[in-house]
Amino acid sequence: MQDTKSLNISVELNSKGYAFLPAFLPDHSTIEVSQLIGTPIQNDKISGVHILTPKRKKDSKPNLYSGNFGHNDFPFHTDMAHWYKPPKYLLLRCINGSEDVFTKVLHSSKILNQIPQNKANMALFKPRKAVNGRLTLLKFKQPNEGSFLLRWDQLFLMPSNDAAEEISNMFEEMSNIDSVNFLLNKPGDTLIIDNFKTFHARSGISKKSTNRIVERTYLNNLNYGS
Amino acid sequence: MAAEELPHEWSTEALFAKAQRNAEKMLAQSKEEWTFGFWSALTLEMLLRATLSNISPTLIADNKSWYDLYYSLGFEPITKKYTPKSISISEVIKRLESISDEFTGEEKNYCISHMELRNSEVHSGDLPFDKLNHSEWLGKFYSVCKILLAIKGLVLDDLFGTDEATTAETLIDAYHDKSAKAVIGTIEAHKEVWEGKGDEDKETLAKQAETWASRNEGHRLNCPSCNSKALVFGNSIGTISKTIDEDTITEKQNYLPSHFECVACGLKINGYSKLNACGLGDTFTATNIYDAFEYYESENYDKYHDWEPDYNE
Repeated sequence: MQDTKSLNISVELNSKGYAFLPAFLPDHSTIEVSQLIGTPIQNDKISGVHILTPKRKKDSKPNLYSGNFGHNDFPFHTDMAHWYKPPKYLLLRCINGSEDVFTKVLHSSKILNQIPQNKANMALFKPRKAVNGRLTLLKFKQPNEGSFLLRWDQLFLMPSNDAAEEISNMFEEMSNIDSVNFLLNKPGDTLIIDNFKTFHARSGISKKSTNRIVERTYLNNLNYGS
Repeated sequence: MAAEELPHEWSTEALFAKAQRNAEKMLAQSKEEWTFGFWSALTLEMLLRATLSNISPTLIADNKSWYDLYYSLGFEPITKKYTPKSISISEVIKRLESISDEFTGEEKNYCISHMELRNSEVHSGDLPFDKLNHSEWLGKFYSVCKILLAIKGLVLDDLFGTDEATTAETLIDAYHDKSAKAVIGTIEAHKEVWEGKGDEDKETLAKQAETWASRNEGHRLNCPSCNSKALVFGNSIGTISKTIDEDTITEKQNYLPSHFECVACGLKINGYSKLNACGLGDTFTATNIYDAFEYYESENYDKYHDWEPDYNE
């Protein structure tokens, strides 16, 4: 089995907020690769492997991205932004590739540079829906273990104060975003994303890409430092 | 680092976020309104709880049942009809006094009295916040908030935003400036001279003062020395709020008093600390109402309006 130490995954993630491993161990299952790289999250709601396939709006549900955006672009977001502590990493792995569907990664520093620091610190959001029957305020820039996480989701989060309203407007008016785009095209192509340091998005699905299959797992930490 | 759906409801993060929301609600009220004081009490309560929980949420748990201690540790007791209970705010205040050197008996007493106002507002038919002038309590309030925030490693900006934090520092300085009380003597001295004047002189001077006060810009009030009409001038604080109502536009700007002048008895007071010490420290609001046409006229007015359309001939 390939040694993940040599891949400098943690170095890449620390500096860029993502690590891309082309055709990585294509004969291994997604859970095996996830366990090799880090510690998959054990949580009833998000543990295990999630199979992501394009769905039309009408074939999905309103609580899902596909149920809102269908085959159109998915906007930049943090996975599980409506949770107090979202998963730290997500791992996306190509099962059935596509040549024209991009996974886009945007480093949060590019957003933070555009927001006055006091606004970022003051902005409060609320989940659009109660989580386990409770509603709570969530900081846009949330201190976390000596650092911070940034959260954003235009669908699942609602601004709860003026600072959050301004940040929402800024995201909605954003254009020409300088993101890094990846094609998960060959079996085993693996993209690991730091969900605290970056936002990610998916481009629209063309007719020839409707059979795209990507598997996703969430990781708490990496096996070789983080 | 594990993913978590929700923060603990007694965690310092959850409580502080709510304190921040309450503070924003407080600052959205006019300082002259009772609601400003009411929201300040709700802000202080959440800040007190967030500060105690910063040590551990277990300190927030009610003592009477071990279920609450268990709950504070992040577990859900397996018992029917369980509702988490936290300690009363007076107990929170008492614990903070025993824990922190900075939070002394003075701060404790202030917090208890402010919480009593809140209780009276919520539980009785009295209107405790209606009769308060904010100059009497706001400096002390911010001073206590500053101490509580420092215990959490935060500053006033983190709770009230940059603009209000600047005003708050001025109010705190005034609250701590004991020398400002000397102004009371100055007022008394002017009062003595005023009372020594004849009735005719007093009447003439009072009339002149009324005319002067109505012709000059500033906030009109009665002189603490001679009771004639006088003016307080101030420095603008915060941003101008604008409301549009059909044909009119109303602009409101808050001011922090900086200077007082009475032309009848000649009393002049400079500096917020002194003004606050003699009861002239209330912020005031200047309101300007514009006709919509007049308001937009300058920017919309087309100076070429009577020309024919531009054309590249």
